Amino acid sequence: MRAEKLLKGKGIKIDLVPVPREISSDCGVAIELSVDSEEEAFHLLEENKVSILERYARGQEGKFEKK
Amino acid sequence: MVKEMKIKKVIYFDNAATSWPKPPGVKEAMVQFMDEVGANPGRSGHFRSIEAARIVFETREALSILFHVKDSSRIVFTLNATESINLALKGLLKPGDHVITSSMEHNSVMRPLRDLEKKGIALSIVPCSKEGMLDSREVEGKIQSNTKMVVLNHASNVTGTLLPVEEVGSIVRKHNLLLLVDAAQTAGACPIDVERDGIDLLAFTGHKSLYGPQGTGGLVIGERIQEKEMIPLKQGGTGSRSEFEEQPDFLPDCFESGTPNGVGLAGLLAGVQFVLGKGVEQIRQNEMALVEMLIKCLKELPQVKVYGPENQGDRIATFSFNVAPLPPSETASRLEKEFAVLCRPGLHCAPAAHRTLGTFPEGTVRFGLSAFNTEAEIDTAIQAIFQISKEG
Repeated sequence: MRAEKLLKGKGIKIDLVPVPREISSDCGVAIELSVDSEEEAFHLLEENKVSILERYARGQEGKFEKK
Repeated sequence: MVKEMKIKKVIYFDNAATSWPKPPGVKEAMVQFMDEVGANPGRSGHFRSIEAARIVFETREALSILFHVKDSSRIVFTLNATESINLALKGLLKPGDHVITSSMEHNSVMRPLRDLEKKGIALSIVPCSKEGMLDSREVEGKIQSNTKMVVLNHASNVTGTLLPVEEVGSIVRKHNLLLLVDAAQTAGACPIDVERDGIDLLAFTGHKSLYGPQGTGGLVIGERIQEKEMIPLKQGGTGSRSEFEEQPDFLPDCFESGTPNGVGLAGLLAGVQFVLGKGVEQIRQNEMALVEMLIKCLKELPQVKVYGPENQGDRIATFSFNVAPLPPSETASRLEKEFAVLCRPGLHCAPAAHRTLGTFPEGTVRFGLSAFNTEAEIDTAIQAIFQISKEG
C-alpha cells in the first residue's frame, strides 16, 4: 500500500495484481509495472525504505524469472 | 428508557469512557465500508480486498501523522488500549526484569503488572501527590540495575492530571530503558510526539478522543524496540507468507493475526481525519476553556470538592468531584434523572488512583468533556450541581 502510494505519487504507472500462482501460493498482492519505469520505481522504493520481498521479470513465454 | 432520554436533550459528559457523539463522517465511512467494500484486507488480490487493505493502511498513515511516527508500519492495531498495554508488557518483560509505574494508573496497567509480579517481574510504584501529580525525580530514584521499563499514563482517567511524560522520557533515554505510555485519555486530545517525548511504546484507543468506534486501538512500537524480540499475544493468519506455518517476524503483521476490525478502522480513519482537520491544539484549547469555567464555578460551592491539579495547564478536560454528603452514585443518578447529564461515578477502573486521591473506596463523580460539548451544556451542568448541592 505504501509502495502504491509512493509510485502513483510520482506518476509511475503501476497495477496492483494478485500474486501470480507460479511465484507464491500466498494470498497477497503484487505490484506490476513496465520495464521502462523499473529502475526509477525501485530507486524510489529503496529511498523510502519500502522492503521488497522479491522481484520477478516476466519472460517471453509469460514465465516468471526471479531477479 | 431510550425514549425518555430523547425528550430531554442529553448532556453527555462520559467522554472519558467513550466519546459521543462522533464527528460527521465516522458513521458514513463505516456504512460505506459495509456497503461497498466489505472484504478482508490483505487476504486477496481482488479490488475490494485491496480497497479494504488501503483503508487499514490509510488509518495507519493518519495516526502516524498525529503521533509523529516516521514509519506507519510501526503502528499495530488492537482492540483497545488495554490490549496494547498487555501486548507491550507481556511481549517485552521477562522474569528478573524490574518495571516502574505510578500510583495513578488504570487497571489496564495495574492488573497485567500485578499478574507479571507473580511471574517474577519486580514492580515499583512511585507515589503521586493528592492532586495526582508525579515528580519525575522520584521515578529516577527507583531505577535499579535490572530496570527495563517505565509505564505511565499520559493523563489520569480520574482527575485528568497530566503526568510529566517528556521529563520521564529523557530520564528513560539517559538510563537506556523503555517508556510505555498509556494514552487512552490523551490521544487526540493532547499533542503527542513520540520522538520529542521519548516514548518507545504508545498505547492508544480509538473510541475516546480519536472519535472512532469501540473495538479499535493500537500500539506504536518505537525504533529502539526489536520487534523480533517482542512476543505476540496471539499467532495466526496474516495474509502474508501463507506458505509458512510460522508467524511472520515483520511489522505490523507479526502482531496482527486474524481478520482485523476493518469496518471499525474505516470509522477510526474518519475520526482521526476529524482530529487532524481541527487540530489537536485547537481541540485542547476549546475543551480546556469549558472545563476551566466549570471547575471555577464548582469550586465556589462549599459542598463540592474538586479533585486534581490546581494549575489548569496540568490537566486535560476530565475531572472528578464529589458533592457532600452525597455518595457519587447518588449525585450521578440525580444528574441523569433530573437534568439528563450523563457521567460516571465510582472508581473508574482505577483503585490505585483513588487511593492516591483519598477517595477509595467510595470514588468520585467524573465528567469527561469532548470536542462536541458546548458552553450552554456547561451552564446547565453548573445549575444542576448547584441545585443538587443545595438540597444535599
